[in-house]
Amino acid sequence: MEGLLHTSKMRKIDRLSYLPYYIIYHILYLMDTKYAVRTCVLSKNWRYSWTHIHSLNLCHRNVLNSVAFHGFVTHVLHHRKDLNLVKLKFYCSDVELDSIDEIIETLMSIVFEYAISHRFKEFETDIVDNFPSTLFECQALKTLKLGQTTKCLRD
Amino acid sequence: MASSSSSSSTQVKKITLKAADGKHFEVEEPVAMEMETVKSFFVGNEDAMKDMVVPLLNVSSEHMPAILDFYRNHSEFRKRTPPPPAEEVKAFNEAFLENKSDEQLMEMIMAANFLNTKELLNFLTEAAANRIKNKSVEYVRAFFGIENDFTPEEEARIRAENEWAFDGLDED
Repeated sequence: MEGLLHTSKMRKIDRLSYLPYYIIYHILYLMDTKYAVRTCVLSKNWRYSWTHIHSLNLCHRNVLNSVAFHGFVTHVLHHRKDLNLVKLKFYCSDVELDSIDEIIETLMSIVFEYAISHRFKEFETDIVDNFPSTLFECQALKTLKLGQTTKCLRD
Repeated sequence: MASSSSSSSTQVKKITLKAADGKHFEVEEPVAMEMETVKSFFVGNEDAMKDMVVPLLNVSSEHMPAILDFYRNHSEFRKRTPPPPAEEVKAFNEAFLENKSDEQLMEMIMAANFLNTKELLNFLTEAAANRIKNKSVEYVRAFFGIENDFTPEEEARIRAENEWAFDGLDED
């Protein structure tokens, strides 16, 4: 029997429309957010898909320099839908440089404010100190992962 | 007809699953119950298990053997004590994906979604993410089977607005 699934031409054209949006969002979430944002040029349907991602993977190493990283992160925070944030990965040190420059310091406070106000539950980062006190008052936050160690804030 | 040519020495109850194209698969009950869609078929109606054929409307028989193989192996991994070494699980997973085309991977994601099994769905979506990350826009379009409906001007403008997202792509 030749069902729909076996009409190869249909298959090719309709492959995407079979896929529910929550699966697309999930695939986007599994990538670095930079790659998720790139999907905005795939087609009109995809233009704003990335803005629904429930978690963010922000990694300095995948962007040219601090200025570009700052531009990238603020753009993402500004355009992402106003949804609660499940997980935030924020890796802000450069590969070669151990130090964190002023631009990144400003960026850190913007990211913290966003994450706290969007009630994030999990946080993974390479920042090791100077956390704002508001972070530890954040009721939603359950897991904090610093480098390799995981600390549970509750229970 | 799919062959279940076992001269069954053990008495494991079997359930018959019917793929979208009508092909039947006889599956051991615990393996079949890994699929929430199959499980929900029998909720409150356990007697039906004996002779009912469960239709899986969205799953092509082409993918059934691989999907069942995944469930069999992963449920065995979960039950084993001590747990299997990570390399063993990794080797199985890699072999599972080895000869799958992008199209087959996408079809299996849809099947896993229909069968409602988190473990398989998570595994396959992660594989899809790995295949498209750091790839060119053209590659990703081909992967998902997307037709570009932007004019060249529109596309150029959107790229410019998101400039930092488009440096350092794989050549493919």
